[in-house]
Amino acid sequence: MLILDVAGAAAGLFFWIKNSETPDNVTMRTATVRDVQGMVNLCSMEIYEDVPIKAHIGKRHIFARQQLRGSISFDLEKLRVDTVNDIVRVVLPPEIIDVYESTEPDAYRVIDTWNESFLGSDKFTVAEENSIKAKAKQQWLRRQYAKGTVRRARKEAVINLRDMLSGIYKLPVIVSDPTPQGAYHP
Amino acid sequence: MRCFLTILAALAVTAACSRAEHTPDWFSEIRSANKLVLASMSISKMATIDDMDFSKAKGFKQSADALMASLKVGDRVAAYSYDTYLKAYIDLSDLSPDDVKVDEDSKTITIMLPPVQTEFAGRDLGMREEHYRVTGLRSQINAKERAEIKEKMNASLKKEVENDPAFKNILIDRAKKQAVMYFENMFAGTGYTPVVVFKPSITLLPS
Repeated sequence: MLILDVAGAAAGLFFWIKNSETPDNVTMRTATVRDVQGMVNLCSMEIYEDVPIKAHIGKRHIFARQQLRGSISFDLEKLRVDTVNDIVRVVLPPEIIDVYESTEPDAYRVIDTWNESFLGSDKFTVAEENSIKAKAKQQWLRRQYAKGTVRRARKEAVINLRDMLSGIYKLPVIVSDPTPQGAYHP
Repeated sequence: MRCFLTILAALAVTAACSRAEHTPDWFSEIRSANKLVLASMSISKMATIDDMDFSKAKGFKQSADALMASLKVGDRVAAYSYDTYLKAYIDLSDLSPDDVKVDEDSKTITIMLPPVQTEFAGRDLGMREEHYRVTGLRSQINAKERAEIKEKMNASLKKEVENDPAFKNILIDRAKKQAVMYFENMFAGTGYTPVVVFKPSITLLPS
């Protein structure tokens, strides 16, 4: 009986210690600037979206919510411009789709992790979690083409670019779009 | 029996309510924009997880944590980092044809651009694991804990950027130089010299 009590207490202490880790003991380092880049990108669309991430690796499962912030822009330094009979002709370049995790509070929340096996580990390594997020990003990108968001962004960019350039050149501007569905449409 | 069923129903309702509380609201919005992004800055943030050292503990809670940590068998040390992106842009919807003036005598084109603004574009989706050492009976660092750490790093970084104007000033300077370079290239070979002027930003004072 005593042995059982001691074993029970030891098991309880073991699980308590294992589960008593808190992220309170975190030390922050000062933020540092890694890189500053110049660019001239016309951004015609911004996307704010909460996406569910449901994935598994073997018997380990994860369910999380991620708040994404995307933008669709066009590199104006790659514009092809020529002037014929006082009309400026411009070709819209390929789209650049950037997608990041939002910096709003609670932008990434792991709701649940579990293992199908009894007492199996539900832990994911950083590399595993990063690869799950990378796959979710690819899915999200495909969705932007399928939903017509890229088409809409290109359409708006044509109008925005025409208005901007005609104001600057003081000449009529024609912007043509060789790939209205998107330059990288899958 | 009726009493048992009532308790069971009450428990079911409570469970349903608590589940509803944890159900996230899924948000989705697509916004048209008309921004000319002129510069981007990546800012790196790093955090480390380590047990509290008893000699460095301040106050009761930290001392208790340090004492608890000293009872645990093994070490639990890790360092994580990721980048956050700040961008500088001008809002082209504030640019009107009147903002571009051509002087034929001096062969100059004056372009009055809207003020440069900055905003967070977002942060890396993933994290970099710079160091990881969990030994003995200590538990591995899981996805939930990492998400909480990232949340703390995010809050800390935003506060730093807010309190130190150097971050934004460096970016705005770079954006202005980029705009001047772009318009100089645009008018190169036309015989006109572009003069780029930035309109001052308007700050509304509380009434």
